[in-house]
Amino acid sequence: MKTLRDNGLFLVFFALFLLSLAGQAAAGVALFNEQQTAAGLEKVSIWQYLATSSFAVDVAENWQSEFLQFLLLIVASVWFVQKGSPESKKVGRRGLETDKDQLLGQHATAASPSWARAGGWRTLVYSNSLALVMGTIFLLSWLAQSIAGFSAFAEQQLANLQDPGTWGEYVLSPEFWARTLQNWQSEFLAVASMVILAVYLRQRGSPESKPVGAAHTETDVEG
Amino acid sequence: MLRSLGLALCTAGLLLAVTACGGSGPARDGAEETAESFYAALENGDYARACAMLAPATLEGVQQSENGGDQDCADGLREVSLQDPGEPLSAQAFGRNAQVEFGSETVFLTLSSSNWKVMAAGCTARGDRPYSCRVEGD
Repeated sequence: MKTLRDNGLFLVFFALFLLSLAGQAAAGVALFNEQQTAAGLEKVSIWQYLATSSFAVDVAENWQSEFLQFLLLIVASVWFVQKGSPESKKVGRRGLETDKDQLLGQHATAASPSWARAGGWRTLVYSNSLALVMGTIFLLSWLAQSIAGFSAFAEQQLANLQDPGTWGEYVLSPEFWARTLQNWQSEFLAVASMVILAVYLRQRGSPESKPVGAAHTETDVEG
Repeated sequence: MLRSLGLALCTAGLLLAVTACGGSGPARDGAEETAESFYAALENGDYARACAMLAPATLEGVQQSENGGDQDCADGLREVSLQDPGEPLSAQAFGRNAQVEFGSETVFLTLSSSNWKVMAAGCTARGDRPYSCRVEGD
């Protein structure tokens, strides 16, 4: 019970992810089969659909944009600030901050993670581990989007009695960039909205908000 | 918890990688064999066998005569009179559809009940527009 309580936020969102992925598969196979029927082609089962490039590209294009959003927010918020936003550092703390602020070197404690205490390349890697992992997942899922997207695009081209083209042509194509950019615009709008709305609006009890009674000009305080 | 999440992410990544890839070898070979068999059946005058290799929508298209009435599939294929195009030059398969290129024409195929069926045959390219095909669905 304590484990459920202590990990509740992750568990709730992971459950929502699984439920919405299942819903996406159900809606996706229905749409895929509508298109198959319209083209005079055979329908597929949901299990066959889960193995298609069509499903893979729809998943991957959303994953890459989410991880790009987090990567850019994590990195940009080191140097860019938004006065009054709980999403931002205080104006005077722009940059990588001191070792004292970051509990590194002589300021590390016994409870600090081992690679934070180790020094050298280990501390350098650990100091950038969040961006490195988010960036890696972004690049891998963007690559998966390009491969799955090309395969799905090629399959559709063949259904239309047209040449499939190559992966190289696909990553320069309007189809690939339309899919990519339509996802990016919504992610960046979401971050920009959250950063600025949280200056003036409140949600009592949420760490994503300032305390209800906090001034609009107060930066980097949690509710 | 962290190890389980890592395992889940790796599994998801592997699944994406598997489903992302297209143009698979065995699928491509099966499509190429079906295209060759189709032309071989026509060459031997075995129109019943050739008709059995047509995708359902294509069969319907062949059974439509030029004046809009119904006709036997064998008569329809006989009328089109496709010639043997020789050896296939290349084949590609993506998902449930495939393309086999011969010297003079191209064949498009689709999977139907796990078998490759001819979707369109006797096809010639028209630039960016869909191929013009002498055997195709409605």
